[in-house]
Amino acid sequence: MADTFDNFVTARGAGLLRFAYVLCGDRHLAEDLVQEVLARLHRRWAHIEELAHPEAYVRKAVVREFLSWRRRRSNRELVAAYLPERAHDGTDPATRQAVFDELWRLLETLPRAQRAVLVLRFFEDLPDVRIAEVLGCTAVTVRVHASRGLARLRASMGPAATATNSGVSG
Amino acid sequence: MSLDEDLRGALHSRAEEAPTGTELLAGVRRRSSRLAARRRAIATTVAVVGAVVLAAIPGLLFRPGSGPTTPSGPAEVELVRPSNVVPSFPLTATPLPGWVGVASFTYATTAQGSVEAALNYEATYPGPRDLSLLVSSLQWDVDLGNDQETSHAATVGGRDATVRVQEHGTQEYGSAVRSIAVAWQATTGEWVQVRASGPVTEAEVLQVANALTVRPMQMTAPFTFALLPRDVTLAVMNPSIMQFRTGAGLLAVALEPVTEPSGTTAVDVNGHPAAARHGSGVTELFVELGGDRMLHLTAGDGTGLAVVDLVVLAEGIALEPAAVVSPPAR
Repeated sequence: MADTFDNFVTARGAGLLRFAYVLCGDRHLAEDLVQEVLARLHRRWAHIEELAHPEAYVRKAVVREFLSWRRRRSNRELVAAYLPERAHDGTDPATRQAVFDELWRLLETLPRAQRAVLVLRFFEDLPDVRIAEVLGCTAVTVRVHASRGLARLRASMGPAATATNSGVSG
Repeated sequence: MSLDEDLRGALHSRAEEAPTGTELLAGVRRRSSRLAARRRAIATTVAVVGAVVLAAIPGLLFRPGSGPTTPSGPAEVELVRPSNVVPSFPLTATPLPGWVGVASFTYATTAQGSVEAALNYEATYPGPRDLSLLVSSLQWDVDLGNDQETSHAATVGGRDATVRVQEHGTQEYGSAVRSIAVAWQATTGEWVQVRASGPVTEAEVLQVANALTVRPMQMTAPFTFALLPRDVTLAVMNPSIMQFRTGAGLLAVALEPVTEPSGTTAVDVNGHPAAARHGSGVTELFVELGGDRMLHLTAGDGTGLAVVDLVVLAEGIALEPAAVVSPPAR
């Protein structure tokens, strides 16, 4: 069992850390999150490795640990300034990176459940039904979290920053 | 570019900055060893600690049914037999399409007084579908969560309504997969929305919308309580969680997978192994129920509830058929 567990951590550890990092937004917390989950799963690894998709199980545990984490720094309410120069068509790399940076900062202001849904949808590319399985909720709840998270990002980015979006609200 | 594309780009761009994990295995092994040592230590001391706590908490002697009101320890929060704390869902849909499946209720309020209630149906034949009836004191955001949507006007029961449709393509057996939302303001002033996704048609969704009548029905809750603080009001409910406002704080009861919380003291709740802790402004009680299920009670300091109160409350909680194990979504 030790060999297979070590092999899994060695082979998939970097991917898990990338996933944890975009979930929690902090390098040290991401390492702590992944270590905590893997340490707890270690003694049950013989059962976990018999699953069809052990890594999916571990990622689900990472998400659930993230959602229940008390050590994570609390979400900060953030009043974002409008960024009139951020409207872009995707062709200017500097402007595009500036928008990425702003979105990354705004993600920190979302409730954890909303952030987790957006990460699972846009980083992991999971459909809502699979996201619901990971979070242990209904697809409806997933869509509510996604809708509210996106609406909050849109509102915080300002009208000019999302001028090229065709999204609707209300 | 769309917000979706920007968000996808931002996440993948930032993922490159994640730790590389060169020390990950060593860190996991160190932590795993510490966990094993802690489990051994807990196993050898739990009996002694449990005996001490049992002797120190008179509230543990209480059993639900011994009286309508009970003194609840040093916090002096009055625990009483609650009247119905779960409100009614204001609408009834009759008849419903044959494909709808198991239903569950969700309910949420805000400190500002707005209320959102939903009745969610899920079915898996033919193909995964779900249907939700949502009622809110505030106008719903009917954005389906994606920029690729179309919308048009409709009428529901003679009221002006908005229909939004988001196409997702087709399933392998050829059925179109889409999300559809129909929203309007009911004669009562509340905002109503019918949402469906899967291989559904707009006609099916409008059929459900037109079948709704203003007739309250009792929402099913995941838990029932023999005792609760006298002044509680339901704040949030879904099949895994009930959260109440009481005093100047929140009391939450959740059914979760078993975890190993740190910094706890062992207690006993009606013969179930349990652990309690206080810190960071909250008091928590974790009660193992078996089958990888754990009852997790959390009370903010503003509630005035102490460990002894949570133990008494936990002893009076019954799981209902609607209860579903779920991770916390705080």
